[in-house]
Amino acid sequence: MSGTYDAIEVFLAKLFFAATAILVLIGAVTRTAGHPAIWSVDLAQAAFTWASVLGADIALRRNAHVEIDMLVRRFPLAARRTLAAAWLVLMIVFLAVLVYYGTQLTLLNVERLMGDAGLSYAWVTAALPAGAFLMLITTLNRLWRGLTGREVLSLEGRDGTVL
Amino acid sequence: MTPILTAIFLVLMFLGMPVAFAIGIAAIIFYLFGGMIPPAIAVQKIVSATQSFPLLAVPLFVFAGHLMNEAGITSRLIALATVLTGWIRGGLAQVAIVLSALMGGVSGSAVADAAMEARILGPAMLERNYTRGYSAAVIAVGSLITATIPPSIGLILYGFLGNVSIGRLFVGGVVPGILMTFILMGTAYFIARRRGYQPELMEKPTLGEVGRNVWKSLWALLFPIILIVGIRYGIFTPSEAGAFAVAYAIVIGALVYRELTWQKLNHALGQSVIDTGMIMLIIMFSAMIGYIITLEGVPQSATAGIAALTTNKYVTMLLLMALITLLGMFLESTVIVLLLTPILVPMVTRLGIDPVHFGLVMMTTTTLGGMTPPVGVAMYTVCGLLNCSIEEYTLEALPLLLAVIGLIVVMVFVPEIVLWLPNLVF
Repeated sequence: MSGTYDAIEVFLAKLFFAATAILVLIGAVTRTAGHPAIWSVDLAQAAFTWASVLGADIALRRNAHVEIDMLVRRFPLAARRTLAAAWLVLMIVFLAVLVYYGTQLTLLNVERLMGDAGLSYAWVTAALPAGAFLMLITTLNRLWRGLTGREVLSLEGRDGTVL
Repeated sequence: MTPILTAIFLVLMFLGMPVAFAIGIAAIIFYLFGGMIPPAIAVQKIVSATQSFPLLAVPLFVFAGHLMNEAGITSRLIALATVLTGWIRGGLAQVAIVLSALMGGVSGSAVADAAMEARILGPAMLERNYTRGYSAAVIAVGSLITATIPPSIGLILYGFLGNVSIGRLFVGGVVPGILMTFILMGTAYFIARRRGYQPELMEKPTLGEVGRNVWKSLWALLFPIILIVGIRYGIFTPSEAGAFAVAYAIVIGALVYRELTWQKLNHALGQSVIDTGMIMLIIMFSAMIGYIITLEGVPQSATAGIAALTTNKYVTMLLLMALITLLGMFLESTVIVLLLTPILVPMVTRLGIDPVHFGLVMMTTTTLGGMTPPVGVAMYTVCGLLNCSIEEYTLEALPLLLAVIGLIVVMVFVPEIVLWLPNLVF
């Protein structure tokens, strides 16, 4: 079950990511050819927003978000567990707030059209509550599995960057 | 309000909360309880942060970098670097440094370059009796060249956040990148002479050998030239250049070198999705902070604060670089760029410093933060792969780090190093 869920999410994220690259390329080629396809820019940005939020959730599940564990590493195990639980609760509250206000924002934007693509801007704003909701599930799941002893309760991130 | 916000952010971050969430939670508290701005604005800021065309250059160049590694471009550049510098004393160290410079033209990420070199050149260096610390140090510090020579993901982020021409920033990185290559090669030469590290090749390569290897790597060597010419003549914007780089890597890898398979393409795509998700979450959440910073006039008060200390441009820049070096020891480079660029660019522009000049100095210092202990991603990556302790690394990295810091100081006082080429080209 959880394997399929992950696979679908990864597939969609890759699809949106690849679409972003292709749409930007279409925009560049048509502009150089003298017939700019302006819609490609709006669609590229919309696709990228979805790729970003899905990627953020996948990264969260893979523990790939940057964190500083210099101090925490020196704490005793029990303290680290408590801290991880507290932070997960805080993240859950934060994500719930984002889902709430993000949904409101999306409902406000149903009527607004994206520049030249003729699509509702709500398609873009919906990415935020949707992404926050997916991350909410990820954090809830981790907290639940941690508290019931199914996995080690920690935030173990990687110090990842691309700079 | 800002001091409380900063305090919450720092506590969360240093107690292990993922940085993106530490930023987001500190910011949302301001919107929810600050009573100044409705929380609806917060989510609006998060969404609008993603709606920027120039920002698309970041994921596209990240993807292009992963693709170039899978496309067989890397192995050809290694062969070229070996022929070019293998005969110099401290051969493999020289190869590692020149490889970073050659990779710089196709990749924009220091960490990706460092990881690749640690996997491929690292074991060979240990076999030739280079110490673990020195091998790790040459590879990690050398990778700074990759982030300086265009394309550069750090410079794209800086240009995006500070509203500075990414084209000019790219061109501005060429001379500092080349200088850095020679300075690090010189340092490696002296270390090799003192320790008796031998050259990798017995004799100097013939012109024919160099020519053959240049020919094999031609597609990789041409790329940065196409990139700069394309941006200069408005053939493509930096974001379109990113999409072009992706297409270029796919065509070269699949049709010319015939090494890129569907599986490798899929793998590069998956890596890029995760890298992008990680950066974008920080960018999206820090957009909430960006609004607060503007609202509270942080750049203005920062300018006033610095002005009270000194009005001299050079002293200001040196002070800022000292601050960034200090922050870079503890904070991750992406986080520093995202938080400081919106504050510093308006400030230095007001002081009459060229934002392109400042950008190169700032990004070099910030990226160097990834190579300095106790916290540094390039350092962790290389030391992890080579099984080298941070203490050993630090000791051996010191002369190389000092050489780079020396170059940064020279760049501060001689803006022409950065600005000469962009002024000539644009």
